[in-house]
Amino acid sequence: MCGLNLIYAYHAVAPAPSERELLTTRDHMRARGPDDEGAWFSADGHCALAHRRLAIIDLDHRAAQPMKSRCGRFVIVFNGEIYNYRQLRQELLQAGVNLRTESDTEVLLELFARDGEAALSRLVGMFAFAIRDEREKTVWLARDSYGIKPLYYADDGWTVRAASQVKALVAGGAISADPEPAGLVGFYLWGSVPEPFTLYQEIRAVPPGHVVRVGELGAEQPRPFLDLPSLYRTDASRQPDVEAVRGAVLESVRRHLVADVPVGLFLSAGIDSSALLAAMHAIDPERVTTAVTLGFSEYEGTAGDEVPLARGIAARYGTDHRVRTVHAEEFHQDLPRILEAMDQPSIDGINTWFVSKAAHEAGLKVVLSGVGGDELFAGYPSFRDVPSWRARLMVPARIPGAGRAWQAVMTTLGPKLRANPKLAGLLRHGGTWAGAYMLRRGLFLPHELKALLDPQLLERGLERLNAQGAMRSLTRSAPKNPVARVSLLESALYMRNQLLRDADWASMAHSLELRTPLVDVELLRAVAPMQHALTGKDILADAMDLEPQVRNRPKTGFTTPVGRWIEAEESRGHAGEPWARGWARWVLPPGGNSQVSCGPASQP
Amino acid sequence: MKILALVTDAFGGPGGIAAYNRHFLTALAEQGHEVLVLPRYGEAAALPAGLTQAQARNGRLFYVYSLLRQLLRDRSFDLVWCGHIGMAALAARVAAVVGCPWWLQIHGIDAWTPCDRTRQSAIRSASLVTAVSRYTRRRFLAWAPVPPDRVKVLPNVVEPCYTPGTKSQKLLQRYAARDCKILLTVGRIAKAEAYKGHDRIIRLMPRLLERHTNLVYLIAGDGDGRPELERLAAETGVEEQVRFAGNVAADELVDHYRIADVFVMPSTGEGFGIVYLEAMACGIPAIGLDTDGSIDPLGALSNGRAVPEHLLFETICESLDGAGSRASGAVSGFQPTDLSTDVRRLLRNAAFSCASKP
Repeated sequence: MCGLNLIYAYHAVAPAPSERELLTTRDHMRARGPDDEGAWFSADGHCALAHRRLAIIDLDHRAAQPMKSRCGRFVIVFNGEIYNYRQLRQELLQAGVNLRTESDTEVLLELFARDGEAALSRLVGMFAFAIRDEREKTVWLARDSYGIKPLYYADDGWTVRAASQVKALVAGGAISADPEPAGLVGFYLWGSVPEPFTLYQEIRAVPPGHVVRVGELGAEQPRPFLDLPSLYRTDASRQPDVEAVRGAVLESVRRHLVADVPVGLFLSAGIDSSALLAAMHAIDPERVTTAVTLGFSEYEGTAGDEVPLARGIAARYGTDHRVRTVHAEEFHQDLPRILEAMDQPSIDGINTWFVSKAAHEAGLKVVLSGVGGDELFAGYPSFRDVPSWRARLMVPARIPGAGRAWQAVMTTLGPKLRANPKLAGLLRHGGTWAGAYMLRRGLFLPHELKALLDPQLLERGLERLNAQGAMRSLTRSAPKNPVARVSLLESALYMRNQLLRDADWASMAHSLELRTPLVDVELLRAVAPMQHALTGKDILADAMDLEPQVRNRPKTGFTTPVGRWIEAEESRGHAGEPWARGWARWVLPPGGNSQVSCGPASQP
Repeated sequence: MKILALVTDAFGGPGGIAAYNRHFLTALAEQGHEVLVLPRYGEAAALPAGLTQAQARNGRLFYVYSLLRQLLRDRSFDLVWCGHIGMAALAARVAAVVGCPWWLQIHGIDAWTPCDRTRQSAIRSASLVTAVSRYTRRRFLAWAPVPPDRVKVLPNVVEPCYTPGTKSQKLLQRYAARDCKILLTVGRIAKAEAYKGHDRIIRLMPRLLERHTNLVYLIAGDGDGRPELERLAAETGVEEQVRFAGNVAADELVDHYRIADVFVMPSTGEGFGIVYLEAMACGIPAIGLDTDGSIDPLGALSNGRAVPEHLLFETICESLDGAGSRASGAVSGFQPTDLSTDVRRLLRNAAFSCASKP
């Protein structure tokens, strides 16, 4: 993992990129890449690339970036890992391409130089990169299919700027601070800022599985090379096959272990991380993996304490197990740094912050995380609730006026009954896939936002966000079976916008590369044909032969007592409402300045 | 390509938008496209080859009637070009009837605030939107339901007649400004366009006169806001040093720029501000504020300065101190040939090749 940025003044009258801006943006991402740094200017002075490196594969300076292709025509800055680079490298060598390094960066660069855009769909990994074509005076921006690695860009009409972080782009000083209503509204709807929007009107995320060409007329419409819905569409339909899942998980973990530095593990007491540890052990029984588990004094002696079970799992696989205990004092002490590192407002990520901190303290540069297991193997309650709500509410939701009437009644009675405020939206939203998903995952419902945001901003934000339309389009492109539909919604919305973004800023703040073997296109290809018959993560537990205590443990994930801790902050919620709402209002106060804002305020 | 252009005015029309439209439409015609222009105002004396301009129809109903008659005669157009956001709904309907893509051109303040729902819905169907400046693009994107990659910048250009030259003694005599340093603003003095900032300069005049005793502020242009400015000049005690030139004839405009030492227009409402370009093309340093589209011409050229208002006084003084040595007048990137190059690129744009008729 690294940090990259670029400035391309494509218009004839645009001022040439300033070195000061380029380096300010780059060095704002110092924690993403403490090992090396570089900058490059095109011969005509109109394009500049910069990079900060966290060296993982080929640690030598020869693999530093920006890197020029052998022919001199292409220059790359790259963030991420290409897990199948050895196979692609072999192919290039056999084709007579001389390679100067052992790095995946060079393989990606030379493959692109040879095959152009066609190379992108062959990449297996997590990646975001910018490639400059000196001959055609173009730039290509691309991002992996899941959107594991971030890449943001801003086109002001003369100049395109791109970087791995929104805050780094803003720090450059040349981006307009105009707020993006869709980003603000999206944050309150979901608890994270939904892509492609950001809090800034000018800055957008490169859509996952898409490539953006920047030519003489600026950034063109993003084009898909391998987007997520296409990976879910499969003609084959097969019954769950434990052996096939085991093989696919082992292959994915094997790919994710490619590194020239030790690879550790975030170990909770859950199925996903245990399965990863089991896979690591199966691949190399001699390997002693450093596994990191978080413990909280508040949870000691309760069912929420993952430490005892994690110890048992770690012992079973001969692990170098590090338990790191976090107290409320440390949370309050770290909070300013957490907010500084948080690239976009989020109601989550605290857990990843502390476990990443612990991994960094343990001397790790790379860790595997079990994120993605719930999305792929139907582990969330949403896999049960969303299809069930939709089926039950489809008819009542169509009764004219019923949704509004129910909403009016529950808005009045709900607080008195201390009912979940989202109950008021049950009939209005619950009858469709998109609506039921929003009820399950949403932070606030659209009708509640009137109390939080300026009406004009809300109207514009909702219109631009078109949340229901975007979800409908996702579910339409998914296979007909409910598991695949919810899996796609969870992967393309919650995981992409919340979990993967939090994973990125929280790990990168500790110069730690977080790898996600359960978020892998090849694994998805193997599991997608079985998804229709999945009822939970038993198949993963069976495949990796996990112990009954692990598979029967109630789901907690990497939880933290944040709800209790933040009560000491100004985030105390309204009576009876979920704590995350209060946290959201504190992180990004409606009508006020964002706690995580970098420089200019983000709200009008 | 056969193009139907719906414009407020172009050939035979006054003002910046008409000038922009002329340059744009000429570029199309020079590239071999067949262009039919339907203006609401202006009668053309001469037109470039390949371009036809219909008789202007002032009233809205007359204009639509004339358009319908045209479409009944011939609707084999490949592209509809709409020269003003006020005509967007009409352009979208025409494009739908004809079955071709349409291209919207936006200029300034009209595109900065949300328009009505009908027009917004129409704008959504535009294959391409071009804005005269980055600022106008940004303000437009703040409300318009259009993806950013569909909105490009196509800047104003300056006529080739604007070049550096000697000061006209006749004009210096007319304005009693021999041996004086001249601060110039060119622009309408309309109450509705008070944002142009003539008043800001008048208010600065007493302080400027302390530093440059022989300073004259020359205001070229006229309008219903002039009496107020005259009153302000009197109240400020600088009526002797503020000269109102009134409307300047086209053939005298270049000479007005040439007698100036510094051009200044601290406007807050410019879509682009072509007058800055004209001044700089004449070798005159130009100053404006950094709050609107002015930042594009002023920021891109070496003799332009776009500054925050609190630095306006010092910037004017610095420019007056350095006045005397004229810049080259190079306005690279803002010449008709540059516009022509951009238009050619935009027409090659995938948006049109995908959306054009089979």
